[in-house]
Amino acid sequence: MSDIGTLQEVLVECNTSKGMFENEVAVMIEANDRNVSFFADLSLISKNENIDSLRAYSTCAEDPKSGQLVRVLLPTETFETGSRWIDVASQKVRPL
Amino acid sequence: MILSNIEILNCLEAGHFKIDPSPGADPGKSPFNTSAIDLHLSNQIIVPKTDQPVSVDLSEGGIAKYLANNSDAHSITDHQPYQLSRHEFVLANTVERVSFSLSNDGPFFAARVEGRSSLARCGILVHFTAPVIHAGFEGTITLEITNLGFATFTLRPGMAICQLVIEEVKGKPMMASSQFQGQSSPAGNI
Repeated sequence: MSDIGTLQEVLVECNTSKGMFENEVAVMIEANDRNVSFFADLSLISKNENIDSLRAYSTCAEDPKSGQLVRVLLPTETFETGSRWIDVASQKVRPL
Repeated sequence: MILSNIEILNCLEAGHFKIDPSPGADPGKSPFNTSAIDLHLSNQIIVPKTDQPVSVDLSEGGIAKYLANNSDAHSITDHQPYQLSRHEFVLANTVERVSFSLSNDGPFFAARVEGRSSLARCGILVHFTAPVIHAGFEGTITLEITNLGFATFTLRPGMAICQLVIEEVKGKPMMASSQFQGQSSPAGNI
């Protein structure tokens, strides 16, 4: 297997809304050409200039090319795909 | 390999994973079992609304928001616990937050949520499927509780509701770093 990369923590742009429990939020991310959603602990969400970001894992390059897709490992599977892995536009992912 | 109570303590002290609030330092005392650790019910019970005239299609987007908007949250106390009727299904979560981080150099750990034999004997299931807490997970644990028993069952905040069996992950979880280099669509480079 070639080019296996180390997972590192990243911040992924997302939209959030009220969760089912007080300590969580419903997260929606545009990925894989669709919107995917799941619940995440509040501690994984940060806000910067009114943009919410989710702490997740990826091997994204420090300076990914615009238009490139980055594979991200979510804290839990999405309802829509049943997978923790999503592909997100590089401009929506940044190293932690 | 399943961790013993001693190994769970050792790993907590080494920071390989976290359980908050701390279960304490005595492996010979609750919440420790010989090869698991008890977790406790929080003060929130979520009851899905059952009067929705729709079917849920997971392939459609926005499922998480839909579920959040179509359930009722109940706060429970010792004086006002929740009475789980026969055949009723609710969601709950644990007091404890767990963290099985992937951001260190390892070793890495995952866990399984299991019910407790005392509750099982009463017909109480605390998870149906998907008991695995994967490496990389962080947060409280959501439980799917249903009563298959013979009587209404009282859910009280703080009761020992499930147990966590912790195992070491062999090898370091990785992903292909260059799989999507240069691509602009999931279909790949043509």
